[in-house]
Amino acid sequence: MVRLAVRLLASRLRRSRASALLVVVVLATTGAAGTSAVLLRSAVTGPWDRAFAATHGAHLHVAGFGGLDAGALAALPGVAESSGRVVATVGELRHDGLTAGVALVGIPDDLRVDRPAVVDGSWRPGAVVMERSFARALGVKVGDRVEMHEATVEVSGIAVSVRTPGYPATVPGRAFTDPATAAALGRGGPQLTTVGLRLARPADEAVVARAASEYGMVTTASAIRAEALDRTRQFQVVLASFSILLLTAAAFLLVVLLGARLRSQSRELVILRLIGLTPGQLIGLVAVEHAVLAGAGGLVGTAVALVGGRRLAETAATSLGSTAPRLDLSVLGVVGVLVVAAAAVSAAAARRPARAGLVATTPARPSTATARALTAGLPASAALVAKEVSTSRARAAATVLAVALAVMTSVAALGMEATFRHEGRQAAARAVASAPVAGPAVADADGSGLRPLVYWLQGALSLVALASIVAVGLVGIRERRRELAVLSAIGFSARQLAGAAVAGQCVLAGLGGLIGIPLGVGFFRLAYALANGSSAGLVDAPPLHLVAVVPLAMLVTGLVAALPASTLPRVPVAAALAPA
Amino acid sequence: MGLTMRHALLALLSKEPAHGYELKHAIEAELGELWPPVNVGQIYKTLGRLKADGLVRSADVAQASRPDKRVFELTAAGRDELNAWVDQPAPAVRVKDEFFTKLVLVARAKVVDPLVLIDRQRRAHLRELRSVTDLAATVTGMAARLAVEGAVLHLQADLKWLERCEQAFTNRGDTA
Amino acid sequence: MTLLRAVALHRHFTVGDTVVRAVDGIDLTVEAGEFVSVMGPSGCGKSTLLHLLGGLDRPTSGEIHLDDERVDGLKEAGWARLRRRRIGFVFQAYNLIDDLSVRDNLELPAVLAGASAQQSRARAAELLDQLGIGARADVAPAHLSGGERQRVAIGRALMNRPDLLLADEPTGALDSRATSEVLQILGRLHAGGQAIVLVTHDPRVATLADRLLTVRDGQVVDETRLGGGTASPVLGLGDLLER
Repeated sequence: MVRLAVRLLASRLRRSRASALLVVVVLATTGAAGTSAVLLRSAVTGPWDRAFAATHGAHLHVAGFGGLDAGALAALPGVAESSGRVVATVGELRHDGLTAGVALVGIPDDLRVDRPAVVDGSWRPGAVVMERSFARALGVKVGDRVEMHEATVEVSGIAVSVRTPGYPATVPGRAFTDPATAAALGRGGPQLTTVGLRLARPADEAVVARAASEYGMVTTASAIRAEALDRTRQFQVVLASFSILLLTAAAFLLVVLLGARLRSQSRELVILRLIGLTPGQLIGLVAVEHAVLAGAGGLVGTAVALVGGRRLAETAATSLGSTAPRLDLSVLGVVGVLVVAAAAVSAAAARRPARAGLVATTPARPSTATARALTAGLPASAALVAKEVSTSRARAAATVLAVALAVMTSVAALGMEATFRHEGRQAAARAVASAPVAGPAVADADGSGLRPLVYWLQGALSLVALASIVAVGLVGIRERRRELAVLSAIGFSARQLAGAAVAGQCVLAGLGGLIGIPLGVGFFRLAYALANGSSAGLVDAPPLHLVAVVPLAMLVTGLVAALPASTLPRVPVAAALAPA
Repeated sequence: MGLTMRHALLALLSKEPAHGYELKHAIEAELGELWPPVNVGQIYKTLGRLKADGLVRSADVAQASRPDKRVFELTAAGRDELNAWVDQPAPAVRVKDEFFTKLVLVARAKVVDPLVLIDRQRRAHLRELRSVTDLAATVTGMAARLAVEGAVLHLQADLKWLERCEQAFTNRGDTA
Repeated sequence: MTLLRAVALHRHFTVGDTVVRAVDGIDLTVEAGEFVSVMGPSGCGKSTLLHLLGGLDRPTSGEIHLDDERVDGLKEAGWARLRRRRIGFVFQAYNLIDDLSVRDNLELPAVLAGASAQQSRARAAELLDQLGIGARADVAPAHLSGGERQRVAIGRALMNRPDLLLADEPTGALDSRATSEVLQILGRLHAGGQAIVLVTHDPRVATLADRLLTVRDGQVVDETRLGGGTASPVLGLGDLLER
């Protein structure tokens, strides 16, 4: 049985290399989309908690300007671990004409609790590491020099810390260095002492109450977390929705591809039953074949996604103020799921009655749309397009859905863009009204992280949609060899046939576009409402943009459909018309 | 096939004069695979009749070590007869069909179920078709192959026609 | 010895409100090595009958016995095993696998039946030579003529030396020359002891058999015995085909 499977698969791969390659490419796209979605989800899930874990964060921060009895705090019942005294000097930091308040924190070498996690660059004695949101607001990169109290110092790294919800929600911004450098740069500025405590039970109210009553300024991790998450909620909802969309698109592509492939193989499957494959063997054979293809495609796709999708996930994590998700073997789970799904879908499709398709060739279903178009006196090409659109419902539905999906996400992205622009203009107006000093630009801070991300994701989704159109087109050609040959035998030129195939896909794309627009508007509104708690400030995409989406979708679909359609003339008519 | 021994001999002699044995061999070479074995007596008898009718004449040729052989050749009257035969189209096979007459009369008289008659005739045709196809596997000459082909085609047509008869009589039975 | 016995076979389809009796009470017996043809106009139920005999379709009622073993109740997997080893099928539409070469198409059933690579290769080569298509072994079926394709299909059906060969209009798509080639092959196979059930509308093809059943509206209306019974099964297939 295994030998048979290997043999069939090998022969088929040998004979139709292009088709197999296409299947692997599409499956790789599926795998890449799936892996990216999983990576994105892991970046979007519990972003704050991930950063908290990465920095071994403190559950309770106690701060004071004077001497703080670190020993007594560490000895409080319920305290598991203490950072000891961490001293920050408050001053002003200048970079590139901008001035901002800074708390320069001296990080002892042996600090374990709440130690900033460096995400770019490294710790270097005598240099500073800047907190990431602060660095971004000031436009500071690793290697830049910043000025503090007339002295300049190099920025050797960027770090994530969960001590505050981040800049500019909390001022002053934060930068880190070794205690000696902190003292030297601080030049006797006001000093703030903090002790970070990790508790045996994170939500231990008793410890919090006691610390508050005996030592003064207390901040809990849960309060910081709530504020931080509230600020990134919008991002999180949008990114999470995209990860779900991406996963849906990947599943859709898989089903479309396998469905089309199995339809084109149905006759062969029946022949195999004829020569004595039991239903179980047949299902096994088909499942193994597709599992192998899915495994190959999935591995390629995952490898691609580990480069591209990982960047995406890192950017997403950054925009949520978190560290990059840890990469583990779970991404291989995507390959596993792909393999199992491919096997399951194809096995289900392999259950067909043995008799169907053996007796001569089954007559093609007459196309009423074609007949109508012809009797209505439309030119033959138009009738051909009508036929193209109406012949296979499954094929048409796949194209419509794929385009609808791409258009829907595009429209959502357009809405998001319009809303951000609107917000940006309002913030600029506010800024002008309050006549600011030369402070860091914060008006655009929120949108700037999310926008490129959403465009990337939207691009990835469109790519998946296009891959499904190619898959449907190419597999469909094999399925329709005979029909196309008949048409060329009665005098349609290869160019006409290819043109009709492309035009048919364009018509379907137009339909998909019309469906996708309201879906996209609805999707964006829903995501916005979920993210912001209300629709206040929401701006829909300009109607002109929406109208432009449809012809654009048709154009792109036409170009993509031309790819498989261009192989049409290569099908020899006589060979295709010979009895099957 | 409308081909009789009489005309066969006239046709063979039109090419060149020949004696009885030569004629026998010629017939066997052309049609032997289809005809029952030809006996020389039959040939001489036919030649005798043709001579009596003035269509052939004969001459004895002396041979060195054997008895004289009698060589036959066509007369002018014989050639006319041959040409007349050649020019006359052969009658179509189906014009006088004994089976059909039987079928129609029997159906009218209700002597026997016409369908039984049809079945019987079909069986006969099928067996004949089988023997002709068996023959087809052994014949080699072009004339024989064509003849067999013709027989097969006729039988196929006959069988198709029987099918039509059956339909017609079955339908009539339904409506009656 | 009786190879196949079908008793009171019925196969009814329901199309809308009407019941179509495609096979309506057919009894059929095939002796080992016998050649039986079933003739009738299209739509008379002859193909359905053949499908029932090969387990491609299930009877509404009736029995099928193969070598005294009742098989009509077999599940799909059971029929698949019968088709694998004991019943070969040949169709008008050839039904070859386009992606496989001629040789691979032939070897497939042998591999399926568990023959070793050498065994199946040798058997395929033997049959290809006997069927006169040895030179085209590595070609894709799409590049063959109809007659050649049907010979490949016959070869595939014979790979595992089945007891019974079922042929459904095997010459239906062929020109007269290819038809007589295929008929000669079937004749030689039969002479070599192969039991065949052949379904056709063409009397010339049908009369190749020992026995001819005429079918109308799902029933056998006539039976004609032709030729002289079964040939001696002592002769090997190879000897006959090389003659």
